[in-house]
Amino acid sequence: MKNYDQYTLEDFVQDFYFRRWVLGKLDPKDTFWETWCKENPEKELLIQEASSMVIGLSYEPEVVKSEEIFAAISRVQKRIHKRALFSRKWFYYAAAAIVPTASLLVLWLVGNSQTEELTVAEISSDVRWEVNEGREVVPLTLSDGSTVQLGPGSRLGYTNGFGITDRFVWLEGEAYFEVIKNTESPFIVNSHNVLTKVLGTTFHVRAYSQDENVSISVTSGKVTVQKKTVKDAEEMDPGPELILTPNQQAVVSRKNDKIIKTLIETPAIIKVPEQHRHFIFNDTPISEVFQTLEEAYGIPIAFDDEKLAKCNLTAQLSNEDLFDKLDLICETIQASYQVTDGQIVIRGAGCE
Amino acid sequence: MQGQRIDTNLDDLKHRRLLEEKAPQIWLSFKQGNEDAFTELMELYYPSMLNYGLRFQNDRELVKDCIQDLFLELWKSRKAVADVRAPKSYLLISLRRKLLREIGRTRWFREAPEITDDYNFEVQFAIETYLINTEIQHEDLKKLKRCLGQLTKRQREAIYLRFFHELSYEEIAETMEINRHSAVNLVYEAIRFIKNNWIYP
Repeated sequence: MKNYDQYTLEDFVQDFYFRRWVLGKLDPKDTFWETWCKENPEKELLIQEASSMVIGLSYEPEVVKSEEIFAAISRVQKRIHKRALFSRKWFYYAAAAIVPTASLLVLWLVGNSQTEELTVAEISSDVRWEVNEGREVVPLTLSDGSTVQLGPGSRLGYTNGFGITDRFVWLEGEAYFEVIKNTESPFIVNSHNVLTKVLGTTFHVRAYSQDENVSISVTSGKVTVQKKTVKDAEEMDPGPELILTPNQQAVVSRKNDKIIKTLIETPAIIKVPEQHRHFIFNDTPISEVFQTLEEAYGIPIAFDDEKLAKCNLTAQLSNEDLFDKLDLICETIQASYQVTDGQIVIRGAGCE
Repeated sequence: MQGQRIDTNLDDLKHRRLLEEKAPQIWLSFKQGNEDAFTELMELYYPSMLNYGLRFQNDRELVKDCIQDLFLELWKSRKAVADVRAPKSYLLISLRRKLLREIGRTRWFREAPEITDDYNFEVQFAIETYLINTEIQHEDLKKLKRCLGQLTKRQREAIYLRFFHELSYEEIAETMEINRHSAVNLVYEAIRFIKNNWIYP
């Protein structure tokens, strides 16, 4: 506690606590000074003089509106990001050139009703649309360096903030994306409220309005898929995320918001396995065979290790596609397989 | 970003005081490249900087440009920037230097080169608005206005920093590029002058 009894006029004028009280900036619950004045009636004149002086020496603050502050802040932020992107861009190009580009295929089959298609983007005026009314694919380059091959009868929308505040595009129709990798800023495609998010890869999107389902399939890379309900559309609050890894496919029903995870029709080899490079197996334990397939196609294969422990495989499977391979394997070991939730589940009684 | 923070109400004052207590940490975080921290610094100090800047130069756009450039330079050189315990005075002094340089430059174009220390420092005391806004002009208030007008620009700047921005004497000294003793003197002389000429003439 300060010794206010000894305070001179100058001291009071200088005291921040006292000043706040005089200028009405103190919490109304804080009654210290009222109490102090009552207890020290002989100081009344001094307090009056000090108060007048505090008020006399107070300033008219220049009114700074919050909008003015935030406008200034966002201008600084924009200038920062312009620079950052410029200097980072070359790194991405270099990285893209060195690292074999991961490719990813996303296929959207979109239903026919166009009634509830007015999304935030279309209402909002600052979205710019690239429209392809022709019959040829139109190549576009976005400001972050990503490229888009926009299909016939398709359109792609983005705001001025694209590449600065976010990497968010709207798509109707079909497009092939080659996305520059940026782990800090995911690239998001919104098509009829189904969001596909990638960090950097190539993929194909098809979203014409004839089909009931949106289906997204991945040959390599990693994306997440979310379905926004119509109710949430304006709040940009999408539902739970579905992660798609290579060769997986999501089928999103536009009617009931259901998402089913499955596999694409013909999964591609995304990585040559270290062992059994040509899928030549010679009395190989079945677990090793499945591991090889898992590695090659990037698809999880679930099986009962104990039950199938005694199963071995001798086969040459270089030319078959994945499902043919599985057919042959299952026939050999007296098992069956099923695609569930984007995985392959093997069921079998085991071998003697 | 929340838009309501800057309005001058009690909650806001409390909020700002809390933020100012955390300012040294925010500063450190900004130095490590945390952009949110940088934004917080801008939010926290922009009004003070604009207020201070306008005392030197009434051209609002020029002051705003200077503040923006200052923050941009700060972000670019964040790794080299010192650990500052009082970001506010650091920012005010940077702005002061920048503005005086800028004003000096434009003046150089308009007039003959002058000593850079020759700057204006205009403050609007609340009392002046009071006098303008009321028909009844108390003799007392007019006398106070005369007294305030007799303060030197350095006294005005010192009490402005002390009372409006609530800087410590160390910070005032730093900002005005004088020693602490001179900063204390400037404030006390001003108060004593008003006391002797207005309260007890």
